[in-house]
Formats: sequence, structure tokens, C-alpha cells
Amino acid sequence: MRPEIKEYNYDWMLWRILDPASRIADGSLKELDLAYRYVPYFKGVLDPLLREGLPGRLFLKMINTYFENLHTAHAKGKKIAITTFCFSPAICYALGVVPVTLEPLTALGGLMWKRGTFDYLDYACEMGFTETSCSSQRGALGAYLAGLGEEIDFLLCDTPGVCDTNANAFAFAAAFLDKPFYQLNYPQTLGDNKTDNYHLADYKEMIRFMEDQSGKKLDLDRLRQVLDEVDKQDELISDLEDMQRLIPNPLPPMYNLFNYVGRFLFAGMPEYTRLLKSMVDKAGENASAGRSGLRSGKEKRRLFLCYIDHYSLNWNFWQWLDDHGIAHMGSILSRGFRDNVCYTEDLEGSTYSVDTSNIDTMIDSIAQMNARLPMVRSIRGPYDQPNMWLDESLVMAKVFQADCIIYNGTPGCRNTWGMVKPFAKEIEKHGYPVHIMYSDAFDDRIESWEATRERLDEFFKIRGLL
Amino acid sequence: MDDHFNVSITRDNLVDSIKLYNKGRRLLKQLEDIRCRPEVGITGTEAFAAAVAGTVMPREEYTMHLNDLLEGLSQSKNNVADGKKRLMTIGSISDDIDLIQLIEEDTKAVVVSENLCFGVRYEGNEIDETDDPVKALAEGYLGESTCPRMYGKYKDRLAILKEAIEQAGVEGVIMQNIRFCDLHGSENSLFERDLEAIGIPCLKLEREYGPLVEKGRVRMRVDAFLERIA
Repeated sequence: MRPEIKEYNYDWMLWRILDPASRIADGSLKELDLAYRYVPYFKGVLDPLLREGLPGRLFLKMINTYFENLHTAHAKGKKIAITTFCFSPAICYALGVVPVTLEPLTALGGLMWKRGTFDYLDYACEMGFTETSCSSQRGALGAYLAGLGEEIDFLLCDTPGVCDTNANAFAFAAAFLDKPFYQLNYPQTLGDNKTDNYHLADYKEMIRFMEDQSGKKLDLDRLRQVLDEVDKQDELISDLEDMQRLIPNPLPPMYNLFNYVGRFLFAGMPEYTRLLKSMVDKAGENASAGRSGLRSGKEKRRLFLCYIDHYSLNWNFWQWLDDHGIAHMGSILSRGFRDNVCYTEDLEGSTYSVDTSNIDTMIDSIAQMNARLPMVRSIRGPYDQPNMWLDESLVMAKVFQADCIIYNGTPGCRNTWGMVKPFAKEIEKHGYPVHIMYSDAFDDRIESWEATRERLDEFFKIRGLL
Repeated sequence: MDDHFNVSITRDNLVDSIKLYNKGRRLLKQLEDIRCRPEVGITGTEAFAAAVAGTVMPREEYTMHLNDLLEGLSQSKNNVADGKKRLMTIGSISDDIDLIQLIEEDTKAVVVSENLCFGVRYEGNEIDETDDPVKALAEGYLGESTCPRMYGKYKDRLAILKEAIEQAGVEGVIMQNIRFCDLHGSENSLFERDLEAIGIPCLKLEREYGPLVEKGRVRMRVDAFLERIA
């Protein structure tokens, strides 16, 4: 790793950028212009967020608060746990543990620096983690393996069997850092009693592990508080998804990112609720006026991403969508699967509910919610198993009236690459043009953004979409 | 399986099958013990071929041949380890007998122990013959820690390796994995770190699956490793 990169911790550097950025957001336009003179390279990062108005500013503040919590955790007597985007951090907040969710932390590096997380991605390989592993964990993980992050106390994951590549990152890190590790195991089915009971028993065991590691007993009032907040958040997400069905879609493309980054870092916390509320208000204004969320105000096409977004510098991917009049109809990351959403009628057993009546219903609610996070809900069995990835993607495309579907992931993602071609062929049979992106969502060295953009242009042109 | 293949899998069938496979496991353990001796009567290539055969042959026939092999070895005065470096091979799935042959062919080394998916690793995983057979099979396959797919058991697997290294007098470990097998690929790095720290030389070898598709490169790296431990 380059010596200058080792001078400061990765998470500290992110925080040091976001802290002033979140303050600048409150300033006047004149102050903002002046600030850009001193940080010209960050104009491309900050400007698209601020153009989103209040939701953009609240997003910045939420991420800043997250890093502040992370950096003050130990001083406040809290433990820090590495975890994954497939795992809801709500239980961490109920137990006073600060989650380090690797994938959004890797994405933030890619979005904010031209150098992305390249040095950390490579450092993880220097330490023996395979270069064929998934870059989504490897970027931020490289920093923590190098000791360039807050000290980690323990690790949690829930992807063994669903995505062994993901799970292996946590198992490797636990052995490398010699830290305690708990894995939730998921059967390949969802929604039947046997599976529900398995989830519940396994989750209870994980709570015991977390209590041991954090030195705190699960406080029922605190758990209820967190779940009440989740309940509000789910309601707001459901409102957003309802509005997303409208033509034109009143949600700006970046709302999808705001939605899932908030959920992966702050589920059950008021910061995320405030962000969602501002998004619902703004999208509601657009919807009332019959306005598209796109800057141009003109929706040309509606795109559903069957997997994840592309985290290149300056929000390039979302900007490209916006510039081309393409509405973002969500991805596997932005779907909630609460029992009040508009797309689960044809996906039997896919939803969860929140019941805070007593301790048993609360733990059951949070366990079932956790079992419906991205990947662990949709890709826990074969892609063409009923109600899994293929069925889900077709339902989403239909409900949100998508014109086309794009797959984007990472070369390390065997979980999807192993089946994406038959999956795409099946989708095409239903009349949806499909584009498979060969880039790495977290590593622009695999395919530059410029090359990725060319291929996107080509797809939309050749398939007669634009 | 009953429905799909239109067969009847009974408790007695399962118990008989578990016993038959356990017998093979015990014979493979005997083979491993023979290879641990100072004077080794069988090359690593031959032993690996015998182990891999068990993954494809009808089990009764295989067990019979394995028994014959062990009887022959018990009477053999042959020592293929004389003056050679004693190596261990570990890592991911490999049915590539030529790989072991390549390691041994220059007569400087003999593979005396292994821990590969298709090799004798399997002998450590004996299934309980007294319990309910389905439960015993589930516990055998899901409760054992011999494969890195069973997360969180790294220290157990390291202990197994250290014991095997000591028993067989291993002087170097060749860690191979098929590219894209992250489980073995990353665990091999942890083994390398921890074994080198106690003075066991290690070679990490990532390769493509197939009959020595990269023979030249692999040979060069194995030669360099043997020079290091000479």
C-alpha cells in the first residue's frame, strides 16, 4: 500500500470529508461557491447531492452522523461490529453496537475519490484475501485488515449458503484479525414454518452472542423503540415505492441510493426516518404536479436494475441516467418486502411484518425482517426457484412498468454471475431488453466508467430504447 | 430422492452404506499412517490416485481393491522417501493426479500427506453408525470442520494440519487452489501465515482446473520451492 494512504484511517478520511460537506450544505450559495474554489475536486461529489435539496442535505448529514458515531463509539463504551448489507443493523442499535457495513463503506470510497478504494482492494489481496473475491467487501475490508480503521470488536454475517463469497470475507477477517464471529445460516426456502422457526432460533442465538460481546443485555424498551422506528421507515419506503409506480416516476434516480444506504447503515434510527420523510415529501410534490423526478422533467425510459448500482466517482451512473431521461425503478437493494408494499402479491411468503406486542413477537419480527434483506431474500435458492430472483425481477419489472432491465455486479459475484446468462435469456423471453454490464461496481480499473458508459449508450441505442 | 428416482431409501440401506463408506475411511486412514512412516512404501502420486478412485468407483469394489493395496504395502520393503524432501499437499478440489506426479517426478520430493477435497481428507469424517442414519449423515457433513466452507472453524483446521505435519515429518507444504475458490484461496493464505511462523515452508499455488493446463508455470514454482527447502 502506498505510504501516504497509510497516514490516515480510511473511515476517518471519509468522515473528514463528510463532516465539512454536511456543514457546507447549510450555507448560502455564495458560501458554497467560495468553498468549491478550495475543494474543486469535490464539487462533482457534492453538487449532485445538493441539487436534490433537503433529501440530499439530510443524506449527507446522516452519513456524517454515522461516521461520528463510529469514531466516538469506543469512547462512549460501545462495541463496533463489522457486518454486511444483507444484514439489518437495527439489532445493533438495539444493543448499542455500532455497525461497520462494509459494502456501503466501499461504495462511498468509490463515489468520493478518483482513486476509489484501489489501495485497500489491493492490500486485502496482499494479506492473502483472494483477488477473485467480491470487491464490495474487499475495499473497506482492506482498510480494516491494514489497521486503517476503527478497532473492530466482532463480526456478524448472514450469507453462508446464500453467497459464500460474501460470507468468506467475514470468516477470513475474523481469522485474520482474531476476532469473534457469528454467522446466521439460512435454509434455501423462505416463508414456510420450518424456515421461519429456523430463522428465529438462529437469530436468538446470535442475540446471545451479541450480548456476550457487547456486555449488554437486550433492553426490550430499546428494541421496541428501534422497531417502532423501523415501522415508520417501512411505511415511508412503501409510500415511495407506491409513487415510483406512477408515470412519470416522481423520484429522482439518486433516491434509490439514499434509500438503501440509509437502511444498511441506520435502520431503526431517526436519522434515516428524517431522510425518508423528506424524500416522500419531495416525491409527493412532484407526483401532485405530475412531474418526473428527473432534472429534465421528461421521462423517456424506465429502468429496473435487477442487481446493484455502479459506484463510480461523482455519482456518474445516476448522473448518466438523469442526463438521458431514464427513471430508476429500483434495484435488489432498494426493495423492503414489508407486508404493506405493492409488489409482493405474486411473491408468496416474501414479506415480513412488525409486531411489538411482546419480546417474542419483536424478536420474531426482526429475525424475519433480517431474512428479507437483499440477496438473502432473493437469491437464497436457485435463481429460478419459485419467488426467487427470476420471479422477483419479473414481478418488479411488471409492477414498476420497466422498459428494460440491467444487470450490474462485480466479477467476484459468483452468486449472480453463475446464472446471469440463463437468467437474462428468461427475462428477454418476457419482452424486456436486458443488458449485462461487465464492469465492477466498486472498482473502475476492471472497466473504466467511460467504457461502461459507452456500453450503456450502445445498449439503449441498439435496442431502440433511446 | 425417493420420489425423483423412484427408489426406496430405507434405514437399513443407509446404515449399510454408512458402514461400507466408514470401512473405506478407515482403510484410507491406514494408508495415511503408512505414508507417515520414515520409510514410505508408496508415492504420493499412487496414494492420491487410490484416494481419487474412491470418488468414482462402485464402493464395494473400491474397498476390496483398497484392502488389497494395503495388504501389499504392509509386506513391501520399498522406501520411496529415501533422500527426498517430505511434502504435504493441501487445498481445494483436485482430481489431477498429474499435479502430484509433477511434484514428485524430479525425484527430489515425495508427497507423504495431504488434505485435499478429493483426497484422504475424507477419512477424518467418519459417520456415527449407531445413531439415526439421517441425523448421523447430517451431523457428519454439516458438523465437521474439515472444509473451509464451514466458517469460523479455522483454528480447528489449522490444528488438524499441524498434527498431520508433525506425524508425517513434513518439511514443506504445497497449498493449491483452483482459481475462484475463494474459500481455500484465502484460507491457504492464513495457513501460510501461521505455518511459516512456526518454521514450516509453504508454497501457495493458485491454478486453473484441468489436467495441468499450466504445467510449465507450476513446475517452475515447485522447483523453486524445492530449492528453498533443499
